[in-house]
Amino acid sequence: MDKFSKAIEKILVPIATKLNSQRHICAIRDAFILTFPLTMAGSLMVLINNVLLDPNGFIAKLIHLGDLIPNLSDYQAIFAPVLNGSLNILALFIVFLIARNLAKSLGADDLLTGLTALSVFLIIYPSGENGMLPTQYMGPQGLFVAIIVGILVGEFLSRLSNSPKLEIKMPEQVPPAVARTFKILLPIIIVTASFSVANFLLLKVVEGGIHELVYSVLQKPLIKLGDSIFSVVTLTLVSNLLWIMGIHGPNTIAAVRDTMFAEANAANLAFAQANGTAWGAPFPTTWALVDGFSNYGGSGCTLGLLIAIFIFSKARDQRDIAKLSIAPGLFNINESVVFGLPIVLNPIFIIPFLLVPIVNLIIGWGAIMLEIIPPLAYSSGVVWTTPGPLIPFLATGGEFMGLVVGIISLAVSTLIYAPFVIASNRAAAKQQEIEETNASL
Amino acid sequence: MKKILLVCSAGMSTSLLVNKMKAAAKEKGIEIEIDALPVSEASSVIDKVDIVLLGPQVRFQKAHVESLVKGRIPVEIIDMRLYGTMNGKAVLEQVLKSIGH
Repeated sequence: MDKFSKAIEKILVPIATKLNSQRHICAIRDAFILTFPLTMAGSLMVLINNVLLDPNGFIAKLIHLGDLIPNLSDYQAIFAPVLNGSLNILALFIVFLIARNLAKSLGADDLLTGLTALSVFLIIYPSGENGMLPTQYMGPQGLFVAIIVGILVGEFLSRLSNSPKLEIKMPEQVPPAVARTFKILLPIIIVTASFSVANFLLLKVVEGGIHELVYSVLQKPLIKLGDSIFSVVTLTLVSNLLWIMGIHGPNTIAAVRDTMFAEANAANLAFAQANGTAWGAPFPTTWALVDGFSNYGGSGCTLGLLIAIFIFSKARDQRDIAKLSIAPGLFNINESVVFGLPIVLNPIFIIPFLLVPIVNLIIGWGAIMLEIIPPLAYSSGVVWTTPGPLIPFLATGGEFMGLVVGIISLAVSTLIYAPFVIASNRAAAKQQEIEETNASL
Repeated sequence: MKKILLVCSAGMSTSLLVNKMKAAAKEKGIEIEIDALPVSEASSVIDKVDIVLLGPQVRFQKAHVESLVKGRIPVEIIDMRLYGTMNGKAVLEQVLKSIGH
């Protein structure tokens, strides 16, 4: 065990430290966290549109809303534009937030840095016909450029504005709000002008502009990489290995994960919006599988562990931790069982903690591949703290089989954890025996 | 009155600990203000608190948090076992040791 944990420590911990504390990665991760309420609200609206305001949606069918309100589906038009204000301008949110977060960590003016980043994003934005702007790169397709611009502007503007030589100092009588804008005026001019020049030169070489270039060279391959069960399984494995070391796995991989799957999830949601159903969505394999099948109770599908403890464990301290953890566990929060059982650095529970999520992922993915359930197209509208098996139910737009597969996953996780719980009981009993023998000697 | 800030990833698991710590403080007869926030929102209140405690699972963000406090107040990591068992009393003791009453 010691050798194993030392090996992991040598490889993973330095990477985890970097990913958790490096300010650019933190800026990216926190930007996604901040947009989450907006994108979730938008996605939720699409879900409501399709399950409530569509006479065939599962809630509408349940309460026969289609009979009560004639032309029910016409009301969908009320909520349809919500995506235009959320997922479809994700890149605009992100570029602002990344620059603002970086400025905050460098002690510069966060608001103005964020605004400048937004401005630069549009300075280098491709123009369309008749002076109209294409909206293609304002959403998830523009994410990479948003990240790059956010970091560059955040970095350079913060550094330039911290340099006293570029400051235009105003006399004391000038109100602070005005003085603040003059302080950063020269750096902003420098940054925006530089990007204009750079863009001009780039357009001479690449006709479509930077957005198209970055998208085809960087983003598309990454999306392709994410569109495989192998990637999802690997990322989950890394995340859970980190938990075993006591490090917040999902937090560490957040920046990579959100960038990799944002576009796929958005495309799925757009499909659901356009077609009124999740069946046939373009990206069946995204991170949604994790939330949908392998995260019940939290990382490692610990809800199955808690149930197994309640059924099979006679150890007092284990049952105490389980009692403490079941309430948050229903909402997929499991720090108390991870650190309290503990699962951290505990050889007995490492194997199921790593194995169960992968098994569940395969179950869920298999169900989608076999077309028992549609892809989890609405997953961005289902908050991650929703009780376990309800997630695939809601994320498929109310497919009953989604609930069934969810319950099966939960049962499987309990079954896999059970022998390890029993083994840990035996180990604890043996340990107690040894201690009692030693005490009586 | 001392103000304590607990940070973790989503602010959810720490909020459980907050309730336990508040109960422990009441038992001791001490007045204390405790808040739980995700790391990404900590900067909004960080100038008003007297100590920041990090959940052990986000301990590698200590450097990031320290850059926000700029040495003004202590930044400490909660012990794993205490955190896992949600031992509000023991964590409160740790805080009082660092910043007094």
